[in-house]
Amino acid sequence: MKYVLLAPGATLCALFVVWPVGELVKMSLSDGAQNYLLMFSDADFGRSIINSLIYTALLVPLQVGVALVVALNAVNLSKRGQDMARFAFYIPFSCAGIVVAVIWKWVFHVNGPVNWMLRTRIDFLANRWTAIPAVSIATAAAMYGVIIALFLAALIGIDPALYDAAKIDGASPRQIRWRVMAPAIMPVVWMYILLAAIAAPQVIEYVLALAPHRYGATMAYDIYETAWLEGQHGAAAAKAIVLFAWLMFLMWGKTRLSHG
Amino acid sequence: MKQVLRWCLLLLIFAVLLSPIYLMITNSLSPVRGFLRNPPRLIPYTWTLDNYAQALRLDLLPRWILNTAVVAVVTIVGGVIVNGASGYAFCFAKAKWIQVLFWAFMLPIFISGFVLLISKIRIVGALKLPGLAAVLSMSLFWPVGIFLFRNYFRTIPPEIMESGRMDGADEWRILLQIMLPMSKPMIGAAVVFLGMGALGAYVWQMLNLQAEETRTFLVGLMATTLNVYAVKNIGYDLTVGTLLFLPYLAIFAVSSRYFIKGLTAGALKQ
Repeated sequence: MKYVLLAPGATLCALFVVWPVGELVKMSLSDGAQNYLLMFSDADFGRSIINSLIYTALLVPLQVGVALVVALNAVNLSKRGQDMARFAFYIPFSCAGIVVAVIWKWVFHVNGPVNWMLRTRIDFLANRWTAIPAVSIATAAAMYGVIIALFLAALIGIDPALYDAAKIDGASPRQIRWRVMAPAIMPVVWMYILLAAIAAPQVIEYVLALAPHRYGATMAYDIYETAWLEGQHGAAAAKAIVLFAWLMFLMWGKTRLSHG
Repeated sequence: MKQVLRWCLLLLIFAVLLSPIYLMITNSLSPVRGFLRNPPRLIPYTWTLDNYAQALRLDLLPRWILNTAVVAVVTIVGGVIVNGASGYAFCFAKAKWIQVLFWAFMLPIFISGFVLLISKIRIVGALKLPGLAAVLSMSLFWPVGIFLFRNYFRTIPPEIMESGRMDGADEWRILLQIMLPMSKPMIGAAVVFLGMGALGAYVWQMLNLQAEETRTFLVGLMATTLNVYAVKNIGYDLTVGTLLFLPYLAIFAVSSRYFIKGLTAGALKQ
């Protein structure tokens, strides 16, 4: 019976996972090492790597930090408060990235609300200094729902004996929050730090919809551009393998940290 | 006092995150002039459905909605069957090679999204899959779901299966008449995730659905906003955003409790 049950999944996996992996390696090596060597003289790719690092530096604290603060504050609320927190944060998440991007395009528009509040007329998305922070805010906002829900689930799962012990030792609520609850859910928090770092170089829908200019391109966007706007599939495949190596390095680093 | 401050902080964060959606909906209902007026009004000073009329006049809109419905239904039904069956097999099979196969199935989680996009497109081309079939080929296989299903089946007490066997039920009957009804919460969660995935896989759908009449709701409507660089009518963009938002709101309203269950099913019960 297990063969019958596994057959459809195995077929899809072979066709659309294993084969693409082999094909990608083959494509990247189509001109020998040429595709890899060309990357070193590709200024756009270098720029996209620097951008991706900036995105990582902004997105990790924006997503995980804010989510942690909200979850720690929401966990003591009534059941209704928690439900409200989930609802409010799910809505932006549940949408496709590209749909939310439409909203942010307007929020950051020259005539949009942000400029009105700041009494400025900056085209945030076409500006060298503001494009990446603006895209980062939009990306982070979309992810809060899932992260907060999982942090809340982890917080609710903490053994109540831990709180009692802390209370008996005279800990203030603030100390309980940051010295007892936060460390107890650190494994989940690390997981999301890793996921945020993995997502950062792959941000693309927001870049497509918000910043067609060069200022906000991530590695994913550069790969997209190389493959479909410039038609150089081999070069794009080589870049995709560099991206893959980056992500693998992150995962390896995270395992080292959590074992160390 | 502390409690009040905490509520204020949360409400502030809610307001910041939800206000773009609120303003998107209200401004899509106001004329262009009203929208450009600063400060942005919380309530439009005149109401109009012009932007919606413009969107609904699109000839291919019914076709796009139909395409999206086909993609969503096939993804949900097929996805639950394919991933549920794999998860079931991985949960109960003991053989060593099956555990190896399990990690091969989990590969996409580690290779994550964008890396394989280029070679996948080439393979879809080599297999000569038409647009919608190509979209489905990617949305059906869902490794996270296989993982969640596997963990979910593990939480069902083995005594239940055992008692089924004692009563003489064969393995298929145990799966269909005992395990299937018991996994309703997990199936509910899978429906939500698969549905949202099918609705939202923008980049993959956009690359595969080049012909206008094969487009989905998402790709078709987005094309009407992204391509119009000459005349900037942001009111219309916001209308498209609102229209694209509606299916999600519907899914969310029906299924928010499954959504939370699904998120935590694999995380808590190890």
